[in-house]
Amino acid sequence: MTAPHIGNTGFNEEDNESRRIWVAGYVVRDPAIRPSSWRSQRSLEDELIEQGVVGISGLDTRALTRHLRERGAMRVGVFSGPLATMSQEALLERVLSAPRMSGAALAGEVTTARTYVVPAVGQKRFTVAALDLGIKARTPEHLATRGIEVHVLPATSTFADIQALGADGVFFSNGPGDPATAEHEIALLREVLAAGVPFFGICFGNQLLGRALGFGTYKLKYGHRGLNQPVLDRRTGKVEVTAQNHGFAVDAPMESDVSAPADAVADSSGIHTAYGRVRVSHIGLNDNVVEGLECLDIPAFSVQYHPEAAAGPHDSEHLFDRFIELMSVSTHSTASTPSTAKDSA
Amino acid sequence: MPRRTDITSVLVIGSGPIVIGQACEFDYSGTQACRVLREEGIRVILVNSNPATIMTDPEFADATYVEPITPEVIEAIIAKERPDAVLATLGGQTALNAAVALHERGILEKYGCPLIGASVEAIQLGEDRQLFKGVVQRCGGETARSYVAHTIDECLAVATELGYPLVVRPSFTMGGLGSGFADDEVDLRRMAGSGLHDSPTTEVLLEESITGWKEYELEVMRDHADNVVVVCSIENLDPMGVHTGDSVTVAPALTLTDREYQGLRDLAIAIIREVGVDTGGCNIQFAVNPSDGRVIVIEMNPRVSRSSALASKATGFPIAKIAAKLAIGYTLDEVRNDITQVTPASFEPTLDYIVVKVPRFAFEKFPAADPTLTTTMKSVGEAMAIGRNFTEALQKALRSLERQGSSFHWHRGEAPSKEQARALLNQARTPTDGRIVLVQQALRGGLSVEEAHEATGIDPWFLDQMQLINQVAAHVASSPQLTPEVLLLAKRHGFSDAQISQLSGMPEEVVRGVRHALGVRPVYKTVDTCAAEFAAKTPYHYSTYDEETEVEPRERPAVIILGSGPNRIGQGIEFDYSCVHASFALRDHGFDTVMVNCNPETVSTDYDTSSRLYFEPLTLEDVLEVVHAERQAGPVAGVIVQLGGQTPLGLAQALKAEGVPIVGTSPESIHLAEDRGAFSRVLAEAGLTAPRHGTAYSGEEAVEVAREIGYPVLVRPSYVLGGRGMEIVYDDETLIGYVTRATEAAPQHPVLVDRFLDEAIEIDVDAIYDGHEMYLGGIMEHIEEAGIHSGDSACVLPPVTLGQEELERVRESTLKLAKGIGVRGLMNVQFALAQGVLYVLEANPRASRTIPFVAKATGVPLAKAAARVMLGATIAELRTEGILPPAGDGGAMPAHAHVSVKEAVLPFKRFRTREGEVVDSLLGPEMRSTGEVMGIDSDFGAAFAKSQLGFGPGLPRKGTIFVSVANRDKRAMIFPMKRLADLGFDLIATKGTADVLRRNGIHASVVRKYSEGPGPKGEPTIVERIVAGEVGMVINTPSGSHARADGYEIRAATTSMDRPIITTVQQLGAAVQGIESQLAETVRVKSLQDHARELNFYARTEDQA
Repeated sequence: MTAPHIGNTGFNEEDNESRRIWVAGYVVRDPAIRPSSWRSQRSLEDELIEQGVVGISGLDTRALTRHLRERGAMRVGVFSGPLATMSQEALLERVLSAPRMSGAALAGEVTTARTYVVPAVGQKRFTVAALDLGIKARTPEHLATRGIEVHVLPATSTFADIQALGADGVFFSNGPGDPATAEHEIALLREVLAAGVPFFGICFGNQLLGRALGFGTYKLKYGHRGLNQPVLDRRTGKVEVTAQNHGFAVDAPMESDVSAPADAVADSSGIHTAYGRVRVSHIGLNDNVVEGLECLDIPAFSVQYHPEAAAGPHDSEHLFDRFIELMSVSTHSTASTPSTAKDSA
Repeated sequence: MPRRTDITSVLVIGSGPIVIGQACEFDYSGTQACRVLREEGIRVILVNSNPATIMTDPEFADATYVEPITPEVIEAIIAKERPDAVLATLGGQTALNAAVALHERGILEKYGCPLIGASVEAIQLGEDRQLFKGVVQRCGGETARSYVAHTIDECLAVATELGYPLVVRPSFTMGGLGSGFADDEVDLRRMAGSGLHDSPTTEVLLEESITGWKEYELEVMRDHADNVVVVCSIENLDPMGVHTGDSVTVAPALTLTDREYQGLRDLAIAIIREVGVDTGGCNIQFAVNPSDGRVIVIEMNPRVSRSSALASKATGFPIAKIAAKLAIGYTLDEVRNDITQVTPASFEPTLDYIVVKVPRFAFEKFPAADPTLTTTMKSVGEAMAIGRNFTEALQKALRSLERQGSSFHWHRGEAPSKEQARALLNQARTPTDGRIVLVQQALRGGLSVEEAHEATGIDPWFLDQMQLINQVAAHVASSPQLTPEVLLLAKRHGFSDAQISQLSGMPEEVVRGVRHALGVRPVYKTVDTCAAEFAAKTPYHYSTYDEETEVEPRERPAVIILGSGPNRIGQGIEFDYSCVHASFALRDHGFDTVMVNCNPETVSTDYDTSSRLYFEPLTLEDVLEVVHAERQAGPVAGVIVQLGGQTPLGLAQALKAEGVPIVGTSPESIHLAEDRGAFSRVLAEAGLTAPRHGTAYSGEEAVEVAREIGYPVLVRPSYVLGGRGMEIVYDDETLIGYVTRATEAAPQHPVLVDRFLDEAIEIDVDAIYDGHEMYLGGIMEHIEEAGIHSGDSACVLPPVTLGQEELERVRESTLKLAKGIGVRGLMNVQFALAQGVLYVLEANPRASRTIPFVAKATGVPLAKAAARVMLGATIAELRTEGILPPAGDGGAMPAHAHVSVKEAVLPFKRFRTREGEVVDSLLGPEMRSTGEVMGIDSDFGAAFAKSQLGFGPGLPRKGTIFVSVANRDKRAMIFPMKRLADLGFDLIATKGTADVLRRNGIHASVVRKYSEGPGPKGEPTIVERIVAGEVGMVINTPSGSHARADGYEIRAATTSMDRPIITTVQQLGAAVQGIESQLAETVRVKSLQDHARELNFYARTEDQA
C-alpha cells in the first residue's frame, strides 16, 4: 500500500466485497496500533491472520513503488516463519518459480461455486445474469437497488444456463488473470452478443468484450491502480475520477469508430459475426489507455474501471443506469429467439 | 475547451493587509493567479493595499495599484483600466466582500466587467448561512439545527428552543470573527450584540452545539464543463469547537473508512454544483459524530482559502494556479499536472506521506487576552511538516514552531505523577495553545488513551500515536547506548537530536556525532501528487528516515536560502518576500537555489519559486541535514541566513561552526551588531552616539544601571525580533519585576537597559553595502515618536519633516555602521533624532520588515540586489546591469517624488479578555501588529488618508470626534483640534480637555467619563456613546499609569466599534492632514508602474521599461 497508515478503521463485515481476502500478501509501512471507528469489528491484522494472508510492515513502500514503476510489474514473495530464514537465493528461486500473470487463468479460482440470487430492491424491473469472474458485492447491490434481480453465476456457466433464467441482460464482472486465457468466457460472450442481449462489462468484463469483438489485449507496463484515475467519457465530454485496478488493457483504435474486427473473420466453426461498429467510449487521461468500449449496432458496452467503486469515488455510478436504459429499449431477452442485431445507440 | 477569447484583461483583487484569519496564503494564491494570467497573455490589473506581498511587485502585473480595497477606489481603477472581468476568488474574504459591494453598487454592470470564478449569486449561496442551509438540504445533507436572528430578542427566543450551549456565528465575517460558544444568556447577549454589529448584514446564526465531533475539510475544484475533483481531505486532530485555523490538522484524513469518506465527497461535489461556483476552488467543512457517523455540513467558502494553500502545499496540486486557469476557460483535463508534466490536472492527488499543520499563537503579546481556543481564529501563523508517518510529521511540525515547550518533552526526573497527569489532563479539557503537549505529558504520566479521549475528544487513533511516541521515548531512555536500531526507531517517529539528547542524557552535538558516525541520516522523498505512480519533475522534498533518497545530482552551484518559518508577530511575510526575491535573482544568475522553510502559507514554499524546495523545520539539525544532502548532490556556494529574519540568523554561528559557508555578512559581523558590548565599540570607533545604556543579568544590576543613566529606560532581552519583551519602565519596582520575567524568556541572554528618549523622531534606514559602496535603499520617518515599536509605527518615505543636513547625517552614519560591522548585503538601522542629536538605536545586518515597502516606494528591487551582493556582485555592477538605478538612491529622492506611507494593522479586535472585553489597543515598544498597508499619493496628507483606508473604515469625513488627552499633550492638541472644528466636526471631550479647548476658543461639549457612570438624567458616558456608534473617531493619548482605567474602556469600545483611534499627538497631526486631503479631493489612483515612470529613477526610455 502506498498510503503509509493502514488499518486505522479496522475491519467490518458491512463493507466486505467478497467472501475472502484475495491478495496473496499485504505490504504496508505503518500498521495501525488498533482500529478507531464506530463500525470496526476487529483489527485488520486479526483478519489477515484469520484468513491466513501473509503481511509485512515497516518497508519503504514508496521505494518499492518506484522500483515497480521503473521496472514494471513483477512477481514477488513475502516470507514468514521458517521460510523466512532461508537464503536469499533460495527465496528468489521460489519467487521465480511462481507462475507469471501473463497467461494466467484465475477466474476459475475466485468464482462462486454455485449460483446465488441478489433480489431486486422494490419493484423488480429486469433479470440480469452476472458472470462472477471475481465479482465485488457492491456490483449486484447497485443493480439490485435499480430494480434488478441479479443471478450471480459461476464462471463455467453456459449460454443455456443464462437462457434458462430468462435474463434481460448479461453482466461480466471484474476479475484477475490474463483475458487471453478466458476462452470459455469469450465464447459465451459471443453467444450473448449474437443473441442481441444487452451486455455490460466491468474491468475483466471489458477486456473480454474487447476480445469477443476481435480486439487484442496486452499487459500494461504500468498497471492502473488506485482510486484517483481520470477517465474521459467521450459521450458526455466529462472527466470522471475512477477507481482502477488493472494490469491488462484492450488494444483498440481511438481515432474513430471501427467495425468489430471479429466481423471480418469467420470463427473456428465458420460462423461470421455481425457486431457492427465499435467505439472507444472511455479513455484513461493519464496515459491514453482504452477505458471503455461501446457497440453502436448491438446493445453492449463495458468499462475498464470500477463504477461500483468500493473503494473509490462514485462519479461513474450512472453507468448502471445506462445498462438499465439499454435493457429498457432492447426488445431482446434470452427468453426470446435470437434475431439480427438492432441499432440501439 | 481552450481559454475564453473574450477576456483580454482582468482585475485581480488582493486581500489587503495580513490580519489574523487572512495571512500570506492569499499572496501565494494571488501571485500564482497573476503569473498564470500573464502567461496567457492577459493584461493583469491588480489592487492590493499590502506592500509586503510578492503579488504587488511591479513585475507580476501590468498595472499594480497599491491602493485601499474599497468600492470607491476599485471603481476608480475600473474606470481607468476598463478590465474585461474581475477575479475576486483568490483574495480571501476581503476580495469577496469587495466584489459583492461592487455588484451591489452596480459598478460591475456599469463598466461591463463581470466576476469570473464565482458569481455574486454563488458567493451569496455559499456565504449566507440561511441560503446555504437550503443548499445542503437540496443536496441531501444535514446542517446543524439553527436559526438566523437579527435582534437580541430573536436570539433569546432561539435559545429557548435549542438550549445552551449555542454556537453564535455572525454572517459574512472572516476567520470566524465574532463567533463562539454561548453557555448562558449573559454570554449570548454579549456575543450576539457584537456579532450583529460585525456582520455587514446585521445577522447572526445560532445553532446547536456539535462540539467534540470529528471535523473534516475537503478542498474541491470545479471547471465550467462541470468536472469536479477533490484535491485533498484534511482531518482536524482537535475536534469541533476549535476553529480549523487554530487546530492541529492532518492530511489526508486518517480515521474514515472509504464508505464514509466517499459520502463526504459525494456531498461536497453536490454542494459545489448546487452553489454554482462556476470555476475554481472551494472548501467545505464537515462534522462527523464519532459514535454513529452522523454527518453535518458546517460551511463552505466559495473561494480559495487558507486551507487551499495548505492543501496545495500538502499535495503539490496548486489550487490557486489552476483556479486561475479555470477562470479563463480551461477545463481540468486541459491543464497539465506541473509535477508529472505528462498527466492532466483532472485527477485527485494521492499521498504516500502524512502532513501535519500546527498553529502558532502570539498570546504572549496580549497578556490580557483569553487564550482559550474557540471558533474565532486566534493564531497568527502556522507550520507544516511532512513525514512518512503521523508520528514523524507531528514531531517535525511541533519543532517547526520554534517555540520553547512546543515539542513533546521527556526531561529526566520530571515525569508527571498520576495526580499531576490528571491535573494536566483536566487542563487539557479546555483547548489552548500547547494542549497537545499537555496530553502527551498526561499519557506519559500513566493515564490511558481512553481517559485522554474522554477529556479532550481527540480521536483515539491520534492518541495511540502519541502514546507510541512516549513508548519509543521510554525505549530510547532505557537503552544503554545509542545503537543504529535505537536511533533509527526514534528517527522514524520524528525524534530530533535534541529530544534524543534529553532522553539519553548526552549533549545534542554528541547525539548528532554518534548518529552520523553510525550512518543514520535522513533520506529525502518527493511530494509528487501521485504516490510515485509517475515520475516527478519537480524537486519538492521532505526528509524521512527510510531506505531510498530521491535527491538528484546537479551541476550549477547551489545557494541554500533559509526561510523564516511560521508567521508570527514581528516575523512575517516581509521576510518571505526577501527570500523569494533572492531566489528569483540568483536563479536567473547561474545558481540553483534551494529553499528551506516550513510555512505553508508562503510564496517561498511554492515548488515553482526555487530550483529545489525542502519543506523542513528550521532547526540546526534539519538544516545541517539539508546542507549535507545538497553537498552530496553537487557544489554548494553557501547558505543565506540574512533574509529570513531572526530564525535563520540565530543559526548562523552554529552553521559556521559546523563548516557551512555563510554568504553575505559573516556570523562574526552579525555578532558585532547583536552583542551590546561589541556594538558599543563599533559605535565608538565610528564616532556615533547611542542612548546611554547598560547590561544587566539581575534585577539589582538593572536598577543600578537605570539609576545611573536615568529613568525612563527602555528594557529588553538581547537577541530579539519584534520587540518581544520590550518595555518602557519608569521606576525600580517595575524594573525588577520585568527582569525576573524577561530572564525566564531567554535564559542565556542578559537584559539590555537603554535610556529612553522622550519626544524623539525615529528614523528607519534600509541599505545595501558591498564592502566598498553603499546603496541607501530608503530613509523612513516614523509618524509616532520613538518608544513605539517600529513595526507598529506608521512611517513615511521620503521623510516629510527632516532637512537635508539631517538626511546627510543619517547617510554618513549608516555608511560608518555598514563599514564598522562589515556588512555584505542588507542592513537596517534605527535612529532617533532628539534635540539635534542623532542616536543610533540599533543596527541589524539582515533584511528588515521594511524592505518590501521601501522597494515599492522607490521602485527598486532591493532584495534582489542584496542577494546578488551577498554572492559577490558589487553595487557598481548592479547599477550597470540596471538592477539598481544608474545614479542616486532611495536616500535622496527627487523633490517631485510621490509620498508613501506605511501603516501598521493591529489585531486588538481579535482578542478578548476572559470577561469578553477587547484587549487594550495602546501602542508600545512591544510589536503587536500583524500586517501593514501602504498609501501612495502626491503629498503626505493624501497618502496618510489612503493608508488609513487600507484596512478598517478610514478617517471620518464628518460627524463627532471625541478627544481626551494627557496633560503633556494638551498644548500640542490645540491647533489640530481647531482645524477639525473648522472642518465641521462636532467635538466632544472630557471636562479637562474641553476646558483647555474652550479657553482656546474651540467649542467642545463635555461628556461624562466612564468612571463617573451615567448622569442623574441618564446622560451617557463616553463609552456608551462610542458603543452606540455616535462617535466617528477617538483621540485619546494615555496619561500616567494610574488614570488608565478610563482610557482603556474608551479604547476598547472604539476598537470593538471599528472606529479610528488616535493615541499619539503625532498621529493626530497626520490624521488632520489626511482628513483635509480627503475632504478636498476625489479618489485618485495611480499604478506603481506609473509612479515609477514619473519618478524615472532608472532614466529609462519608455520602451526599455
